[in-house]
Formats: sequence, C-alpha cells, structure tokens
Amino acid sequence: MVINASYFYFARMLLQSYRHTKFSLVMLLSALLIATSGLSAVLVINHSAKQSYEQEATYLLPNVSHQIVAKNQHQALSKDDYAALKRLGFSELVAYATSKHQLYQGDKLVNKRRISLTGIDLVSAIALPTFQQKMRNDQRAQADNNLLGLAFSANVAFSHPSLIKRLTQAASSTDSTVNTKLSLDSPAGQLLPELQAIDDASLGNDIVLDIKSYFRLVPNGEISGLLWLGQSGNNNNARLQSLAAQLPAHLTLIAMTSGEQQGELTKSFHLNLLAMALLMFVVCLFIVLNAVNLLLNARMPWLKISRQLGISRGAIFFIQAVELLLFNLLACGVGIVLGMYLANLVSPTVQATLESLYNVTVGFGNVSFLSLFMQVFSISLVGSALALMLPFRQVNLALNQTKTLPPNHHQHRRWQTLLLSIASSLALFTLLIVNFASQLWLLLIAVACLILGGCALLLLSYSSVLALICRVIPERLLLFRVSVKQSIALSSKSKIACCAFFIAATSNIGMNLMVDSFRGATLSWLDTRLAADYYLYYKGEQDLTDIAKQEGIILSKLLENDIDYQGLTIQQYSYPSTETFKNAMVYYQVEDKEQAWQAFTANQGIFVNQQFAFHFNAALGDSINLPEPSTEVITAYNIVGIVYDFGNPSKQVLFPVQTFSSARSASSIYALEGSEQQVQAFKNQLVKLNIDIDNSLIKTADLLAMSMQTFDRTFLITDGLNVVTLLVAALSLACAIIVLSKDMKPQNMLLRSLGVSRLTSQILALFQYLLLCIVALIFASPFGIMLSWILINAINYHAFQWTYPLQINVFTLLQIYAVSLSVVLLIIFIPTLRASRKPLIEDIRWLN
Amino acid sequence: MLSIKNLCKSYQDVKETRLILKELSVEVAQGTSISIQGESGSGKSTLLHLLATLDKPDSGDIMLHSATQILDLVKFSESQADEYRKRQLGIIFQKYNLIDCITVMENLLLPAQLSKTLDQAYLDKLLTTLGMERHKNKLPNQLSGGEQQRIAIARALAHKPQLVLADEPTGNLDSKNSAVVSQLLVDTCKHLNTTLILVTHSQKVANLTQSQYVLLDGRLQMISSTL
Repeated sequence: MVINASYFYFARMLLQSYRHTKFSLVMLLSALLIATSGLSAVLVINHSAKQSYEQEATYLLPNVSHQIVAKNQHQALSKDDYAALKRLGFSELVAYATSKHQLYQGDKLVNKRRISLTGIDLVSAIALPTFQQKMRNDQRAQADNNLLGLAFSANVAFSHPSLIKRLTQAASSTDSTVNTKLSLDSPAGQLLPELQAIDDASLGNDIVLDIKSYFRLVPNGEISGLLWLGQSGNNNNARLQSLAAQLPAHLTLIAMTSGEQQGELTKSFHLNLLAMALLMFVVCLFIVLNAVNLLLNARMPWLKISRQLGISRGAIFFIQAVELLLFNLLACGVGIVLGMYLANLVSPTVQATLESLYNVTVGFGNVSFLSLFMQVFSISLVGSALALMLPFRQVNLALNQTKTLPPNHHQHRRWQTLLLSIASSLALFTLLIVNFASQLWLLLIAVACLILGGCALLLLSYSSVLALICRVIPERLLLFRVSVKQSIALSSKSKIACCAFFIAATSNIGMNLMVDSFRGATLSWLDTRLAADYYLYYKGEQDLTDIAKQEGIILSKLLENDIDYQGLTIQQYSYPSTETFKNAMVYYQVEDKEQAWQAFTANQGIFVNQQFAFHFNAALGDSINLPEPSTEVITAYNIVGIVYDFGNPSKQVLFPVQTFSSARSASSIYALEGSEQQVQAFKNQLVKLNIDIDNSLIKTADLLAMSMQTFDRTFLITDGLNVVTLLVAALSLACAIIVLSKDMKPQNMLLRSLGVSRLTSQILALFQYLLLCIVALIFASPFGIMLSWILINAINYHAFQWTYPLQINVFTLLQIYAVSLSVVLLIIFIPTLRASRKPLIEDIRWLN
Repeated sequence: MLSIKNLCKSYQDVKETRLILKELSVEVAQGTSISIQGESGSGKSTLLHLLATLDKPDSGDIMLHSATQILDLVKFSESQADEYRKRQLGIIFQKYNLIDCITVMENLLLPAQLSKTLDQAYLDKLLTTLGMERHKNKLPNQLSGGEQQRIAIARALAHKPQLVLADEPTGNLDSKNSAVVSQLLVDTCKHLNTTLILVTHSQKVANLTQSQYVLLDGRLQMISSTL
C-alpha cells in the first residue's frame, strides 16, 4: 500500500514537473520522433523496393520461377516461338510483352518518366491450375480474379493504386474519371483502357492489361518473354529441363531469381540506405541520451525532494522508465505516419535511382502498419533503453550523495585512461577489419568503430584543444579568453551532444568526399572514355557502315556477348582499335600502356574492368580461358590491363572490334568520329532511310551531361539524409548548449554588470557555441577522410567491385564546414537573441 | 558627489502595486562611505540596482557629479549605462561572484581592460593592500570565502571607479572574516577617494562607514554620521 502510494505520489510530482522542464521534454520527444520517422521511412523504402523487384515481372501471376527470353536482339522471341512451345505441350508458359510509353491527359503529359505498359496472355494464365489454386486460397486474389476476368471481356487495365493516384495528381485533376482519358505517347494517341486499381506490389510501376489489348495499342510491339508458372516438386524440375532441352537456339531459359546479380547490386543500394539509417539511429541515440540527461538534470531537485520524502529509488526509476515507454509509444505512432509520408515523398527519387543504376523497375510495396510499428517500436525501445543507462546511473549516484563532491582528479584520470583505451582498441579493431575482412557487415562495423573511436578521442582531447586555443588568444583579449574558458566548462557538460555533432560531421565529410571523388573520377573517366564525337543508339537491321564511309565518318559498331564465366554471366565487349580510343582508355592498372595496347589490338591480350578483376581476383599477367567472341572457341587470354568502368554492374572483358562477328553479337550502339558537317550529312542520309535520329543520335557532350545528371540524382538521397543527420545533430547540440547555458547565466550576468554590452555578450555566446562546433569539425575532418577512404577502398570494393582515387578537395571541406556552422548558427541564433532581449534586472537576480 | 532626489520605484504584485521607494532623497559626497540597513524587502537591493543602472525608477533623479561632468543616470540609454558601469562603477555582491574560470589576476585585469584604464602597478598594489598578492595566479575556487570576497573588492576597485556599491558583502562570511573584509573595503575606498554605498544587516559593519542610514517605508533616515 505504501509502495503504491509512493508510486502514485511520484507520478503526480513528475507530471507537475513537466511545466518546468518543457524544453527538455520537447527535445526528448523530438529526438524520438525524428528517430522513429527516419527509421520508418527507410524501412518503408527498403521494403517497397525489395518487394517490388523480388516480384518484378511476375504481374499478379503466382509461382513464376523462370522465363524464356531471346539470347540477343538479333533474333527476337516471336509469336510463332510461343505457339510452337505451346504445341510441344508446355502449357505453363504465359507470354508477356512490355514497352515504355508516355501518357497524356488531353494535351498534358502526366508522367515525367516513361511508364511500362505490359500485356499478359491472361487467357492462358487463368486456365492454369496454379492460377486457379491461388484463387481458391486467397480471397483478395478472388477479387482480383474477377477484375482479371474483366480484362479480356471488357476494356480494362490494371495498376497499383499509388500509380493511379500519382497520375491523377500529375493531371492536377479532381476528375475521378482521369484514368479513362489517358492517351498513349501523344495527345492524339490511342486511348488507354480504364485503369482499375489492384493493391499488389508485383504490378511494379507498370500498367498491366491483356496481351490482345496491348498489341491493339502497340501494333509494332514484340513478345518480351514467356513466364513459366510451374508447380513445386520434382515434376516441375523435370519439365523445366525438358523445356530447356527443346528450346530453339536463339532462346534461353533463365530463373527469375537469377536476378542474383541484380539482387546483389540492389542489396548494395539498400545497404547504403541502411547504413545511413543506422547512422541516423546512432545520432538519434546520442540525442535521446542527451535529452534524457538534460531532462533528468532539470528534474534533479524534484528527484531529491522525492527521496527526502521517502520515495524509494526503485519507484523513481520505475515511473521514469514507464514514462519513457509511453513517450516511445507516442513517438512511434506519430513517427510511423510521418515516415510513411516521407517515404511517399521520396519514392519517385528512389525509383528513378534504382532504375537508372540497376535497370530494375521499382513500384509500390504493401507495408503492414502493425509489423512496421513492431519493428520501429522495438528498435526505438532498445535505443532508448541504451540511452537511459548512463543518465540513470548518474542520477542513482547523485541520489546517493548528500552533498556535491569536489572534482575528483583520480576519477578524472581513470576516465581519461578509459577513453584512451577505448580509442586505441577501436582504432586497432578498425585497422584489422579493413585489412582482413571481406564481408560488408564487418566493414560497416569498422565504420562504426572508426566513428566511435573518433568520439572517444574527441572527448579525451576537447578540453585540451580548447585550453590550447585559449593560450593562443592574447592577454589583451581577455574577454575572449573568458569565453573560451567558459566553452571548456560547456564542453564537459555537453559531451554527448558534441559527440552526436561529431558523428554527423564525420559522416558528412566522409560521404561528401566519397561522392566528390566518385564524381570526379566518373567525370574524368567518361570525358576520356567517351572519345567519339557522337553516339548513335540504333537497333535496326540496316547496315550503316557504308553510309558513314560515304560521308567520311569513322563508324565503330560496339558489339557485346553475354557469356558464362565461372558460373556467372559476364560481358564480352568490343573496343575500337583507333588512335582516338587508344588515348581514351583509362587504366586502373597497366604495366606499359604502349605494349598493352599493342598486345590488345593484335588480339594477344585483353583488358578487364575492375569489377571483373576484383570479383575473380584476377591480376595483370594472369591467363584466363574465355570463348573467342566470334567463334566461341575457348582460348587462353592474357590480362594486359585493368580498366575503370564506373557505374557498370557487369563484369566485363574488352576485345578488339575485329574479333567480333556482327552475325553473332548484339549491337545497338555506334561510336561516330567526324566533323559537324560530316555528321549533319550522315544525319540527312539516316532521315532519308526513315531512321529516327531525334532521340538516338546524341552528341558526346550531351551524353556526358546526361550521365552526370543521372549520377547526381543517384546521390540525392544520400545528400538529403546527410543534411537531415547534420540538422538533427546540430539541433541536439544547440538544445544542449542552450539548456546548459542556464548554468552559465550568473557568470554572464557578472560580465554584464561589469559593463559588457548586450551585443558583445551575444557575440561571445555565439562564439562559444561555434567554437565547440569548430573543434568538433576539426576533429571530424581526419576521421571523415579516413571514413571516405574506407568507403572507397573497402566498402565500394566489396559492394560494387570498383574503386577510385580519393580526392580531398579543400573547397568541399570548406563547404561542409560552412554548411555545418551555418546550420548551428541558424538554430542557436534565435534563442540566443531572445535570451539577451530579457531585461537585465530579471537575470541579475541569479547573482544573489 | 552622488545626488538622489525624489526617487520612486514600485513593483506590480499579483494583486496590487507595491511602492518600494517613496520619494527617496539623499546626497553622498565624493570619497565618503555610507551604510544602508533595513528589513528584508525594504528596498535596499532595489536602490542599489537603480544606482547601478540595472533597473529604471518610476520617477526621480540620480545624478553623479565628477570633476569634469554630471551624469544623469535615470536618462541613460543602454549603451551609456554599459559605459557607466564599465568606467564609473564597481559592484560587490554577496556571493563573491568572481569569474571562476580565470585566475585572480585576470579577474582584476578584466574590468581594467574593459574600461581601458589598465595599470598593472596599481593592481599589484591593490592586491598587496588586500593581502592577496600570493594568490594572484590561483583560480577563485582555490580560495576561501573570505579570500574570494577580498578579490571581489579588488575587482570592484580595479578600474578606479568613482562609486562602489556593495550589497551585503559580508553576508556569507564568519564574524572574524566579516570584520576584516569590511574594514579593508572601507579603508581602501577611503584611500582611493571612492564613494562607497554599503548595504548590510550587520551593525558592526555599518559602524565602519562615515554615515549610517536605515531604509524605512521607502525613505532613507540617517541614524548617525561622523561627517
């Protein structure tokens, strides 16, 4: 009974204390809210993207395990091939055709990026036992089935509700019948059937309809593939083997999950996203820790009174733990809603990034609110519990003490030794992992160790560095010395917030330097590698060599073969042997450029890209067995050069153009070397042959600009998360400083009583706060550079199989400093201004 | 000379307006010392805050006459008030209130630097007078309460102000230290020809000054004077 009464009393006291601890409470709730919303956004993006490409090209169809596609673009998969395979008894096959289009509502273009229109042979699909079984087991599928039934009985197409919503929004229309008024590729194009919403991630970003309707809308379309809707069991495997054996030579059977390569790459993207989310989590952890610390400090008088009134420590901690649990629940609920909104906001960018990077279509996922809530709540609870440990321990110690003890130098030394040991151990650990580990998760741990080691070093040296700065300030600027010395006191009380800012600044510097280096390397590589004057994308049969020759243009056809090497599909790619392309080659490793080029052009050596070399552990001088590009005869080739090939997901081997046979190899890209006049004449010739050159003949400078645009878009999300993390950390630091600066008030008022003006005291306050940030930034710089080195040489190496030189651009560093300091200044300026506006007499009471 | 005429100051309470100072008038000659006693809440600290230009009166005048100029404290702008506190005024608070992150000597240097009247020899002499020269490189928290208050006195006099306001300067000290510190304060001000206005509860401390006043019903009443 006594215990119940004391719990009740303490809970009431806690509620009453809220009036006096508003700022700390708001900070704690904001930290939790930012953490949960950020985490939810990343989880939703990850989940949707994964779900989307895992089910890519399955279009509502169950058990799609394999598909048949054409081996190369020379001989496409035809309707006859489909009919022939059906006649052979392979009824599990369902044809689909897909092409990208633009949609108009009236004169208005409603989609910025082209949308895939996909036709499926629904008649064959619905007749399959697999499909019917799905309908029997799944009620929602039954509803979908009714809709699918409409597809061939009526003029209907399907898409994800989110896509319909986006199209409607783009049309700026409140007209609910917008989906019946969409025309294909031009305002006067064919009208699309009415869109029906089906909430299924497998629809991706596509509009799906019956294949007959598709061919009516796209008369020149071709079958893209034949999906295999098999049943599980040995019989299915046997039938698949039989199908593979009976396939015509120009077709190939591939497993849907053989997007392993794609999966690996997208994994890297998600890893990147997850790493950023983890970073945000760590920063938020520090912020929550900081907020709890401040809250408990502000509450300390109430806690002490409660102890004096006989309330047990158990009751005090229990009620506060329950309080934090409730805060977590509240923050999770609101945070998830915010996170979902945020994810929805950035999803077009994510989709564009994944599509441009990995050529995968990303649509909309179905995320369960409950499972998301459970994930976010459990993570935030674990984080809060971790963040609670240290402040609770301090409160426990404080409640045991009857009076404030003087600073204990022995304890201080012990703390310094501990920090030094932590910093050294983490540095050693990072070094070991980076040198010997090859798993990505271990490398991410190395990154965490590096950053935490930096934190330990910062805590160890903060006051020493500030004291050093203080010594540098001349005695005649005593006021500034006072300010620096006050910063030392402030830094010892705002350690956690300073660490959060340090982490954000380090990651910001690391990521920015990495992106900057990557951008620089890519730009220089593309600039050199795109040696021709123009590039032509042409899939047609027409031989363009003679036309080019007539106009005096050097036309190099870029040919490629997909081959198997050590169980993986790799690319054989042609590389022109002209002088221009010789100079355009950008080597990562080569012994003698001249000799290597001679060996290459004489077909006595090959170049491999970094992706190939790193994946297969191939080095210069190694001999590897590969099929000869034109004859497919296995031949031994010497690697004479390893070349840069940024952005290419494939492992690639380069051969001279003359070793390829046009009959066997696919080609859609031509490199053109010639003057403006010659190219203009060549263009005229192509127009006469009815070849569309508007979108396919691209000037190299435009191609370079387009590539760099794609590049920049790719890192938009990383940039965004970087800024958010920095903002959050700066906010935390600012809040901590502002709360703690209450402790400094008597000293500042003393200065005011000595005649220091309001403006000077404002400047001194800002100087103090900025000094803390500048020191954190100075510490963050070497750690940011090391982080960047690890990202480029370890994480990129294992995730993408390419590396590039680290470029430390002083301008980039200065830009990061300026942005970081501006963010802090912006956040602390208003409270500092407000604080100094208070009448002096109100604050002077602090002095007595 | 410090001249206060018909000074009024009121505070707005929750229910009513409380008139703390009611047409208070007094004149203090340059280089003399006066003490003010009175009950808690009688307005002693309020009077000091008005003299320090930390607060504004409802009405009345406060004039500070020096050899070269007459300062009308009530009409000061904020920057003039800052300048006045910087150059003409020294304040001593009850809780010593030294800047704890800098040394004793730096605490003295600061007002001298702010008023641009730095005289190292004078500061050394001041510390010697107060018996604190051997502590000049120590931090305030390495000193006892009595020692800290001596430094506070030195700091208040470091820039050779015309007027020193002391608000219960010995309130936190034991009787022995209280007597020593008060005597030092009065003697040093006299020696420097600085006007001293000392608020205290202690009769012993009050007796050290040349004139003793009590603040009663918002007005100053002289109890005794040796002038």
